[in-house]
Amino acid sequence: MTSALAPVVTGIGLVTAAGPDRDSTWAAVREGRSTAAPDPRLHDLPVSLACRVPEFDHPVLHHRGSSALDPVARLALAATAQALEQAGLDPAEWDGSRVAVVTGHGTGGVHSEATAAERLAERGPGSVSAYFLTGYLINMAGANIALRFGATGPAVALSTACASGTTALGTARDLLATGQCDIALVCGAESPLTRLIVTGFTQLGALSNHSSRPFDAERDGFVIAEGAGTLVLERPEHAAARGAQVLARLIGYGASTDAHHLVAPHPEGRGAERAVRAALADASLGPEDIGHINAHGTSTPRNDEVEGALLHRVFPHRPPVTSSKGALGHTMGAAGTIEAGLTILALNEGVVPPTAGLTELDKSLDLDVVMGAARATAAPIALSTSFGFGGHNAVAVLARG
Amino acid sequence: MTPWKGDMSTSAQLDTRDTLEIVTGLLVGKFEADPADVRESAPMTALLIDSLMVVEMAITLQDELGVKLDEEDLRDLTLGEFVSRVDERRARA
Repeated sequence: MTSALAPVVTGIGLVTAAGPDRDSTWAAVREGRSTAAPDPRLHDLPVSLACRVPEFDHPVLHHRGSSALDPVARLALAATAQALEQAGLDPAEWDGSRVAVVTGHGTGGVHSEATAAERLAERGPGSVSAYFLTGYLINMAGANIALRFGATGPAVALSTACASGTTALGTARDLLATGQCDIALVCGAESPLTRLIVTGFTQLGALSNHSSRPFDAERDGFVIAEGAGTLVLERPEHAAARGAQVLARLIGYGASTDAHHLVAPHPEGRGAERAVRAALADASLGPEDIGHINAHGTSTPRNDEVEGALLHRVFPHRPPVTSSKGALGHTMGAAGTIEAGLTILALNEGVVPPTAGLTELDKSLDLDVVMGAARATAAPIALSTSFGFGGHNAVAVLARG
Repeated sequence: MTPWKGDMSTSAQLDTRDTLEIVTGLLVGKFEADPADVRESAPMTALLIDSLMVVEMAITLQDELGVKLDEEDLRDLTLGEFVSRVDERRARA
């Protein structure tokens, strides 16, 4: 995308197991501190390790109807309120028709679904809450954002499983570049810690009950996590006209689909590699321009093997690699926006955070994965990868603002 | 995060408190009405601002008190009248 059209990021909001705000999340990632813990609500399941967002409150959740919100919408609203505050945007003053909402999710409001299914089975149809569907439908986190902040431009909720957050960034970029909006609230949000969803991933052999250890020789699965990340994207001229501080620019985006298997990555990572190369081409950059990589790095044996090989192939200059999932677990549909936000924070602080949980790099991987402590870097451009069940691949290139 | 408060409304035993206290508690606690607006003369439709809340109140009172209410009970009455109607149903239950 030409630099004149590349959207700018003016606000970041994060809600994760590390805490309900950007600073606490960044602190955990920067320190390489894991947030995983055995979850009492999952204690009798084969896997009970999870990254659950601690109880929190936020003024945005004090409005009529808030008590009925599914947790996924609560996370999304809190992250979005934070991002708007940082961006210096007041919804009371903006032209809402020029504001889009793009959300990404792997699941919908599965807590609402679990409660409704239980009541239907135990008490019959008349006992099912009137708020079941407004909690459950996958578009409702975005609808709540639009309703709460008066965003009346295009709104879309999309899913590419664990690539959803990054796909949302790419979709928002296109809405901005084609003039359909001036501001896009881009939110990945996920609250998947129900017994059924955790069991589903357990049955696929995807989860670790030990720890998240991206790229480690002993890695044995991902740690399932809650979280939300919102980025405020703006057309560059819109941000400039209001004198907004630019945190970063989204200068490249690429996407592809494996069409290989519903859950297994292509063994040679061909689809993922095409997405990485497409993002670089979109940014008019060569691989050597990338200063660090925020990898998908789930801590599953297969993902990290395939991704590690493709990063080695595409980036022979061995830029430092990090995975935020060592600290925060895998927030699935929220991972893309959370990790884009963290990548921007890293670019602006001039560091690459360590990969929490990594103690012994898998010897089969020829990668410079940052471990132990954050590493200083002056490089202004980074790349963030996201891959999802279904064979979805999405990659963003971000430049310091 | 824990699931929303509504999940907690499933009481194993029926509530024996005063009906006005229970309904007022729900209006303020669960439905987030301004306590200053919760007067016996207030129409229920002013306290429950949309159809979702009306249906949810009926479901919740079935849970809490074991009384079955129609949406019309909620749409046409003031808070005071509504509490009287719930009391009649509780007496019969």
